[in-house]
Amino acid sequence: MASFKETMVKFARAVFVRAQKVLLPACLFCAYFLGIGPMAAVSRLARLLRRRAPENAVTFWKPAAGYEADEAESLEQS
Amino acid sequence: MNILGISCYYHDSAACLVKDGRVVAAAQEERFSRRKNDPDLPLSALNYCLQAGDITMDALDRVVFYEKPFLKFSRVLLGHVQAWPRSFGSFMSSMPLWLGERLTLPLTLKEKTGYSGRTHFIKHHLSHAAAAFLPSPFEEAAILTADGVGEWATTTRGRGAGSGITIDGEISFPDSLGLLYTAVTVFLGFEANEGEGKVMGLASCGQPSFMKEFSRLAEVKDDGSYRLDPGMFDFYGGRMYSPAFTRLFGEPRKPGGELTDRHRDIAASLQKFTEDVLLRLARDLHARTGSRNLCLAGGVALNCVTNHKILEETPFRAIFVQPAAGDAGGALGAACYGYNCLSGRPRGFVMDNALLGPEYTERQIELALAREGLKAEKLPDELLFKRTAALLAAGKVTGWFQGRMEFGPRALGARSLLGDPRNPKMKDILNSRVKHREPFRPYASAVTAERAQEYFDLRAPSPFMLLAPRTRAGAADRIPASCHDDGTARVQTVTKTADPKLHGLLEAFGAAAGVPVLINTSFNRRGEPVVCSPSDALRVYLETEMDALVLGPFLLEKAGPA
Repeated sequence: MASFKETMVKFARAVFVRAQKVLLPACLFCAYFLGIGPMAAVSRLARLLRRRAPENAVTFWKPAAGYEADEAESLEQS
Repeated sequence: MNILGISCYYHDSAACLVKDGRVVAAAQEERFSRRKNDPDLPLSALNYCLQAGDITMDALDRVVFYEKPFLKFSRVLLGHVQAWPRSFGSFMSSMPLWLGERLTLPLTLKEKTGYSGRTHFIKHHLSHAAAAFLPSPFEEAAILTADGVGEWATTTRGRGAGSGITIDGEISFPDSLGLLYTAVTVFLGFEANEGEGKVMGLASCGQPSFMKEFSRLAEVKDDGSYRLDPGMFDFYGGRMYSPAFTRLFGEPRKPGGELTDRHRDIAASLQKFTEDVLLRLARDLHARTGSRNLCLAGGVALNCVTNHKILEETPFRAIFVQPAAGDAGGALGAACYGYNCLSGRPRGFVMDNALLGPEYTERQIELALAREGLKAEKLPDELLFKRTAALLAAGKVTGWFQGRMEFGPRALGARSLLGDPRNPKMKDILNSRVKHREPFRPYASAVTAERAQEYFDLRAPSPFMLLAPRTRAGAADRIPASCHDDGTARVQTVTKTADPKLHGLLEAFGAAAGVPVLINTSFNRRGEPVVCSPSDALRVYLETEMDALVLGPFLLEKAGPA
């Protein structure tokens, strides 16, 4: 017969798994509408105010950065 | 020193092991999971690499991942912002994976493999550049990479010398030649990241009559750098092209719908536009570097028609495109970079064949045959070549399963379906019996390197089937099934040293049929990955109308007329 402690661990794990199934989508839902949504509004407003002007550039190449990965730099994920 | 390279979480995940400077194993996860373009963490491919290298995870000095997850995540988040609220579905489905695995790769690796050593991350296009240059035969070379998108970069240029790589220019998302190709692929009713090769095939059937429309999609400078018109595309919303694009080109083709001349001409125009941009990029790169050698990588480098035009129409005299030029090759680049650049070891490995996957012993083949209750003849090489050549010359569709599996999307004589190129109906026969491909798609050919010039106007060897030269006069009469509608052919040149068995078979077929050329296509059914094991091969053999199968030294034939 399972001990009281084992039963409680199983119970806690079951609660955690259930909560995670509900909490994660709920958090993502909130993040999408309360975080991404306002950012989208600001981004669109900024785009309206600052239209991409036609350029007379000779080239669309940009200088590359971050391609000299050494030991320390390559341990970074960004 | 053991370095493991990993590419995953987008499409076509793979693992690669470099052991003391040699690439000892590389494979795509799809071949083991049997799920085409499998994007998951490549645990089976990783285990195979460790087995092939005869090591455990503890013996790894480094694991190198092929991109920077946090940088990529920033672009993905921006995409959700730009496409709000249409991005709700993809946000909800993709975020758990990002938060659970992709942003915590060292933890994920520890949990799933027990590895707790150093995990390095290098930029996506640096992985491509490394895969293109470090295993190449060149001491120095210009490097050009182009694909859909990595973290932010879509095209980069640079130079490799010794064990060093310098990237000095980039073009960033949303300006992307690869995404433009994919957008038109989707518009033409094919699947993104899968149908681009089909569009390249379709292009050979059309005329480039939409160049004026394509010039409105992007502004291209003399040096080949480009900027897409953002009003024409919808890369954030998942549809790829915008209503303005539809107004310009007309109604999109529904998947599986009828293909008209308009679709063929759009494909031909896309191909010509891509070639024009890449030719300008290559000429400019040559002027900057002065190098005679060019290393190409990224999904765009799988465009064999463009690759050959670069050789023909730019001052570059030699070109190297490794067989897994797409994202799977990122694992190879990451592993090579880890060894040559992070560990500072000199280069010494040249990738002269793609045979880096698993191989199976005669005993394993015998067991697979026994499981299916099949009997096969075991033949010595010379007799095997002769008998197989006779079958092929009699019009039989034959599977050819030998040695180690190829790394990359092309079947190069290890997991191949072969046919007689003299038969003009061979394409239809392969399509109706096994491949069930769209009828416009051409098939590639394998030819002995010594006699390739008799049939194809090749400017360089093409061991990985990544060049499409024009065919010689008269070739269309002798090997009609090898020739595409536009007078080109996708070709693999085979040397005795790189693949003695396929070379032996080609010579035997040359003796039997007069041409040392065979139709060579991947050994799979439509929608499935290329076969990996003898059991996979037997399943395709038994469930399709293939006539014969060669598994190592064993020959199986089905009864009945061809």
